[in-house]
Amino acid sequence: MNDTDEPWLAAWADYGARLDRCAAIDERLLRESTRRAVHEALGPWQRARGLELLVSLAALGVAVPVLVAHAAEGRYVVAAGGVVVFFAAAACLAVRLLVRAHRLDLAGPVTASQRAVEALRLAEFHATRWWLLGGIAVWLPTALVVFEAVTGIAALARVDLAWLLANLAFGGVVLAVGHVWSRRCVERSDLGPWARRIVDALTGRPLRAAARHLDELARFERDEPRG
Amino acid sequence: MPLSDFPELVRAHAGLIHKVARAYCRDATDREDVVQEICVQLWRAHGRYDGRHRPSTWIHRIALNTAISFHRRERRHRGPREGVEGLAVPMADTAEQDEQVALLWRCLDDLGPLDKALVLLWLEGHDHATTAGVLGLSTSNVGTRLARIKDRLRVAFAARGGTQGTA
Repeated sequence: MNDTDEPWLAAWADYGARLDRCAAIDERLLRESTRRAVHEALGPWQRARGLELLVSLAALGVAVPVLVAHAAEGRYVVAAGGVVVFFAAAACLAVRLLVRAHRLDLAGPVTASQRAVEALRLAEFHATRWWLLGGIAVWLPTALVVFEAVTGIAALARVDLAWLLANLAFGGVVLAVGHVWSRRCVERSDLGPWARRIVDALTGRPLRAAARHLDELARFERDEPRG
Repeated sequence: MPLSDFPELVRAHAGLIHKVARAYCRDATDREDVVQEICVQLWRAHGRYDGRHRPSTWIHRIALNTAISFHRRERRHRGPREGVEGLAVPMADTAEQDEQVALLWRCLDDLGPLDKALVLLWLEGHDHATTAGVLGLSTSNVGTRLARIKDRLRVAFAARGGTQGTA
């Protein structure tokens, strides 16, 4: 430490001492809010990921027997197979998110921890995108497979292929409209958390933000000025 | 660390936590949220605290990581917000000290989130090796970067009419 810095450091130390005195006044309030936050924080996030995992496993439990029972039929291989692939990937993404969140150590070096935070955000972005894009493609086959598993009626075999494809095309239109809508309201600040996740997933904004932040971290580690 | 020590730990470092929160949030409401989030993260991590680092170093790591993440998340979702300062700290003995602190805050506000962390650690009296450990940099990188930032601070102080450390 350089002696010539003393005026700043002395003023800062004095400010810190004054702050310590007045911050202590809020201690009780701080403890109460902390206790409440400990019970609430990350709860909804973990519950949502847990729900994704449960739904995925339940769908797999329904779709796999249907697929196995009709493994020789092309229509079932495509439709029920698509459902199995979709929910298997969704389950893997949910597990990956939960593991990453569990391993996140904010007591580590700032640059390493910030990279881990960014990786978690990106994993969340990919998971949301998968649910959104894949969900549009497989929602109808999923409904038919579940119906068949519950009632025993071979719904997938009876449904008109053209109708199935028309629904897929309709999903594509919904996706296109959603994409246009997302681009228009991407800068809006009054979106709820779910709307924000959908908009981010459709526009890919988290990818660009992550790239910028990772670049900033790398520059910081290499001792380069900000770009 | 025993559970019973946690409130005392937070109490003893409340000023530090508030300073980190203030560095990343000018808005009083946001700052309260960050303070709360830092406390939550400290609570979660305190069972894993092994005493290898000083408590203030450990708290700095968690507080900075939490505040930077909050800052990025909030900026992305609603953009930078110019809010009420609202940090009621008693006046210093001399007006000059208050002026110096106000100028320091203004200079800090102009820095990027990572440089801000570096300067905060320096102002808190951490040596280069400790700062390097907290941020995950090399010691020489800390020295070089800090020297550059201090030069910028001196220029900013001079331009704003503050009392500066002579270069």
